[in-house]
Amino acid sequence: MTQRSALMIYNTVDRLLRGDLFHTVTTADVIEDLAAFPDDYPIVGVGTTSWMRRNGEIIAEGTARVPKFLWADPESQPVGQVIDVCWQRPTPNGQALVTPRLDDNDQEANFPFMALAVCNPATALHWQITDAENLHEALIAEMTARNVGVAGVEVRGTFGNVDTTDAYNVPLGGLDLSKGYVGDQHFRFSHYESAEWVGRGVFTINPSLHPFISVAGHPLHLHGYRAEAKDGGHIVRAQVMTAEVTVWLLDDLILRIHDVAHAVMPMKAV
Amino acid sequence: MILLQGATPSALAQGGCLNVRDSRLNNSTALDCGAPVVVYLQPGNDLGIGYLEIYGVGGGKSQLLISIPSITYEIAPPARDRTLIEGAVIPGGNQSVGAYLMLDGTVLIEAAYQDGKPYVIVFDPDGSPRILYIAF
Repeated sequence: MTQRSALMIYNTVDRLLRGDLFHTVTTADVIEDLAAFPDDYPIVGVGTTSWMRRNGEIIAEGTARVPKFLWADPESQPVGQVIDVCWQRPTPNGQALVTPRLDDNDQEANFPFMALAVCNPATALHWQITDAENLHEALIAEMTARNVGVAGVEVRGTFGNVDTTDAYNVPLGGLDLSKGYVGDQHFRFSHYESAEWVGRGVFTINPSLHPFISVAGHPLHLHGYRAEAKDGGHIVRAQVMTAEVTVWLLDDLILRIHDVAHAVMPMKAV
Repeated sequence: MILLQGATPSALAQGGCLNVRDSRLNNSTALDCGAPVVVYLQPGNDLGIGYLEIYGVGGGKSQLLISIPSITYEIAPPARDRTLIEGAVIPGGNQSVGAYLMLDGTVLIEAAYQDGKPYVIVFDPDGSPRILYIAF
């Protein structure tokens, strides 16, 4: 068993946004990989599912032994209600669960992208943020000042205005995010006012790694949910009144893309 | 996304089918035997305008759903990617087909089998018109 911490990246955001909903992993695949790490290593991460027109946002938390893959449902009312897809089923209301791969089980979550920080508790850095107008900028500034390279990030605290998106339609033909998260054909948008939040995410300062976990120029990918209401998604921007930050430095980056043997995925014969 | 030409049966699958050999563009015996849409290219008329025709297949019949004049994709690229040209419902079910003009001048055709699994192809009008298949 390794003692090294790692950022496990399943497929990449760049490939996802080009429409790759085919190179997926299941919760079982990820849990199997997590077995290589000490049980008590915390995990934090972000991802999405290949459920067509119901992709949603994954917020990973827990430990290597007991991971949780929280899923913010873009079809729920209100938007972004969170369930753990390890053991909970999406509500039958809303878009039927269909994945593009012929051989995926439509009823279980399949992840076309996930970035999962498997963290060594001994590397944890802690600090507080108070009265920050922009959570992302505050985190990036502090991590840059501390020479953080690749890390898992957790933020807990009282946030002010928060804007989130929940992807519901990552098209197979690709999605252009060069102008930011715009377009109600692809995202549900939510706005929240003051509440307690939990945010989890991953950070890579090196621009060459941005397309793995995010888009160019964005080193931090953060998802989160309101602690009481249990709803949220991809955090676009957030004001922070006061928050506790934990950042775990990661030793390795491991990129895994499953099922690359064939260029074109199988289509139905009849 | 990258686009590939149809793979041969030997490369992707055993067997094949004969129904794709009727001059349709989506004619890969490995990928298109059960396609929910069939795409033909009608040659240009006196004005030089051809038509990209998309038939829906379902419920034991096929039906012309979308007919796109070639000037749609021969003129300047659209202002935004993924501009919907036309959408329709495939007969025999509730699945839809959409034809989108892409920034590179290709036409993305998004359809679905009866169970909702997607069938997505790209018509490339440049050079010898052909169908491309998305790959990652």
